[in-house]
Amino acid sequence: MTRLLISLRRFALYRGLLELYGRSPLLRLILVAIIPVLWIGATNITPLFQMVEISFYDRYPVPQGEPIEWTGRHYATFFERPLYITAFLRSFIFASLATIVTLIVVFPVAYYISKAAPKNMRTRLLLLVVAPFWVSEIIRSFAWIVMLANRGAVNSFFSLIGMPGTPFDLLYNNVSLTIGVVYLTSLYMLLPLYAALEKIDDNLLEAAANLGAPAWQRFFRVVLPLSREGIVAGCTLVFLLVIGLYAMPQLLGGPSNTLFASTIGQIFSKAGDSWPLGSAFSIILTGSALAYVGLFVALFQRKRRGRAA
Amino acid sequence: MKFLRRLALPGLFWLFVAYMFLPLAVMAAMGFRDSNFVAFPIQAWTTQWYREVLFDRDILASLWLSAQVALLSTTISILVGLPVAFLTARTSGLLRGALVALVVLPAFLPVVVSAIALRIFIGRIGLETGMLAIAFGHAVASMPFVVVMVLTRLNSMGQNMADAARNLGADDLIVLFRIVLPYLSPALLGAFMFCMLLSFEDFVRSFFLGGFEQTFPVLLFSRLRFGFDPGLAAISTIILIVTTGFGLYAERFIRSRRLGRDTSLSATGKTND
Amino acid sequence: MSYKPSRRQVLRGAGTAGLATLAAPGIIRSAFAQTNELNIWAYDGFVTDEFRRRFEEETGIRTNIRLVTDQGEQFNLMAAENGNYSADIVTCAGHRFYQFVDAGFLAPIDRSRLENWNLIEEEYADASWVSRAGERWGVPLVVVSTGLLYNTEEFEKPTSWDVMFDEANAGRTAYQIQDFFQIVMNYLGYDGSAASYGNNVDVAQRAVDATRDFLIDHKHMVRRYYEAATEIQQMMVTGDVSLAQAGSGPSSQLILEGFPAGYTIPREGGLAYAYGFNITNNAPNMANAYAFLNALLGDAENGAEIVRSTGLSATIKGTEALLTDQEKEALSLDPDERARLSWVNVETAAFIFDLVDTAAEEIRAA
Repeated sequence: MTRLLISLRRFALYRGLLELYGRSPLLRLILVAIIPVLWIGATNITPLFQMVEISFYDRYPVPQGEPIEWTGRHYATFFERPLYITAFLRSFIFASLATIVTLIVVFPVAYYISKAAPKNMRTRLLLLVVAPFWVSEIIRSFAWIVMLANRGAVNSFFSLIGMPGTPFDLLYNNVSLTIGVVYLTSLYMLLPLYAALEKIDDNLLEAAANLGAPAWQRFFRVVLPLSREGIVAGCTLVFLLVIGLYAMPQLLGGPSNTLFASTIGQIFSKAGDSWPLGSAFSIILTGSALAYVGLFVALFQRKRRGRAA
Repeated sequence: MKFLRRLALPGLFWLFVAYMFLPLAVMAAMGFRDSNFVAFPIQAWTTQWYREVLFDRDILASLWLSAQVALLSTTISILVGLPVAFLTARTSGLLRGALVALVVLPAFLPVVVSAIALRIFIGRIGLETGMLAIAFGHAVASMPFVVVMVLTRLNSMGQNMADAARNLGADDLIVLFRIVLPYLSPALLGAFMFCMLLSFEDFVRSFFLGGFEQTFPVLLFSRLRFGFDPGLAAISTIILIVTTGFGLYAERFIRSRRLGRDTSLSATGKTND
Repeated sequence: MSYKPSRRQVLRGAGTAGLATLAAPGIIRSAFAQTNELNIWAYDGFVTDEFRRRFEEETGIRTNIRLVTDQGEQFNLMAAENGNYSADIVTCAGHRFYQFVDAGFLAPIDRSRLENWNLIEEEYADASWVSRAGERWGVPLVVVSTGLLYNTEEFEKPTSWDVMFDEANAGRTAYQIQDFFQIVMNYLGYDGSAASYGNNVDVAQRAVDATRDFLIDHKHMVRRYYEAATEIQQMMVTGDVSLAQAGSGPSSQLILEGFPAGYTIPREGGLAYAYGFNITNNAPNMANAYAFLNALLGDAENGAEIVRSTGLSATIKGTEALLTDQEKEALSLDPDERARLSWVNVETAAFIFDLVDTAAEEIRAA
């Protein structure tokens, strides 16, 4: 690649372009910014405006020949009915807890792959752990049903070893839901953590060890601060994945675990005039989740600055 | 620490591997069940399901489409995500916050909503439903992940290396290809996997943006309507084995090439800033 | 009638093909899709490979089939397509198709173009639920009932829905809230079809509220609210539940499989409706759509094949004669049970479903 780029410099046109690029900060900015701005404008903002627009329609699809009526009643519905607010709050609490659980479960795994395992094995171990994610979410959910059902793998094992009281009701509660959700989200924690941990210099850890720092101190003083970026990225990804999850909770959760994303899914899953209400709820969820995560990231960054000063 | 390194960490790791693979092993076994449903105990065994799905033309066609979509969307996503991350890295303060918020927005939208919005959007720009539309939809969805991962790594990269290279006469493109991208490679590898996986298992967007040719998850869902039969377990197992095998092969291939290159050219090495 | 691609469609196809040569083959094909093709959205098993092959050979019409899974999915897709429907034929359920009609997605069926119409069993051909807004809609293909599915190793054939609310069975039941809701309304002595309430919203609302409160009071007894037929089959097979409100399709599949399950319509009644094909409004291949539906009605063997792969009963005459005794046994209800089924009243459906949908959300969130 480098050789190609160097040989390209033989051409005057290429040299001229490079020079122009080097000289003009404005051109540099335009070149760097043009794709992002176009893409974000087209794909992130336009559809959002569309949904905002529909959320203020009285009904959708608008029957032919009838004028569009505008209303804010779909937003009002959310605040009028405590049941929606309950599901909404439950979603945020559940997503936060699931994120923490995922972090605790995945951190040692990521650390092992990126630091402790033999060097030539690391990528292979990463591939091994990532492999299950090629199987569809829905199949993996069913896999857990077959694991935890009353006549599933775990209960069969228990009755085989003669444990009294089998079968246990393992499915359709908060535990089975958490097991399933962490199963789905661990990848999204693993990859950013791996990327962050991988770049911590081994010498640094050795130096700390040579200076007599005990393991826990090295962990809290060196590893944790240096992997902070990865933790923040991983938690953000996992949180926003969980907050939008609806197939898995539907399959593994119980009758009392309704999350807000499932409510939105329910609204959209029935035929008929459901888009305005569904859009309004989605916008409420999106806005709140964005604010929540933004707050979380800002807090972390202030802490870092505070420590640096 | 010795205890941690020798026992606890590998222990936890292999425990995690068991957690990941046990349900799938159970699924793989279910593929041999001689029945139309999956459950314990397996009284009669058969290889019929595995044989059947291997020759199912609909399944193979859908897998091929899914693979194409995954590659195409990953390419788009990384090609767009990189400049977005570079741009974001140059900003700071409020502007940066706003930019990041805009970038990650699609990831926060409930998937049904973003799928419907994209369907209306491609209708307006005149893009036909089908492979290209699905790939576009997946790229929109996975781009935020690319940016977050790349940005995380970019934040820790010092300017020293790039400056040093420039002083030695490298132009910006050379700096990009010889210094920035190699430094980003772990993040890019992660982003690549993300995009591929995200695309490969997306149902809702593929459904709304697809035409009469179906991606694998869409086919899966429509078959699921009338019963979860062992055939679905069988095809999932086959996919798992093939992709894992392919991944390991690719890793070996890349490693042997890198070894060859590292000996001929000086390695870029790691930066300590 | 011949179907040529309109200028706009060709231009759009060509433009996109220019954008990406990678996807060119697919796009060129779909640009020419309007020549002699037929685009169908169907449930898995509704159009058998055998029938499809024969139809294509006899008529020279190429069929594109897209498998779909439910009503909401198709509705959303059509709403997003905004009048330029990619399908000529869609699959609608009898109890929800009024929503498609009201949204203007469908074209009424012109029966004079279907010479095989008389091959539908009379019971279904002229039922009240096929008409709305003064027109007739759709071709009923299969009939579905909703009743009580139970594990025969644990229960004698129950005669009443009481078993679902018996404290002894707590934690062993499951149901789909929306479908079960109307049954429970009947069970509690209200009118689940809402036909007798006329348009008196207050009376209907009181009935719905009472039913909702009853279900919330008994929420601790239900193991799970499920959505898809596959889920209830799986829960029965893996022993998580032994009593459920379920559709006749998934139930008869379980019975045919040899699983110890029974299906009955308890004395307080059950629901019935039909699944059928509808033609979309301004369907691009209207003539082909009629040719297809006509062929479908004239083919009892395809009807029997649908029955086998979906577990639902067919509406086409002569289908039953093609089934084995075992298949009939699993699929048929005795006359008493048949008499307990109530058909969805399309005229009041809109009004009652709105109330029920809201109540269902409240039950879920409670």
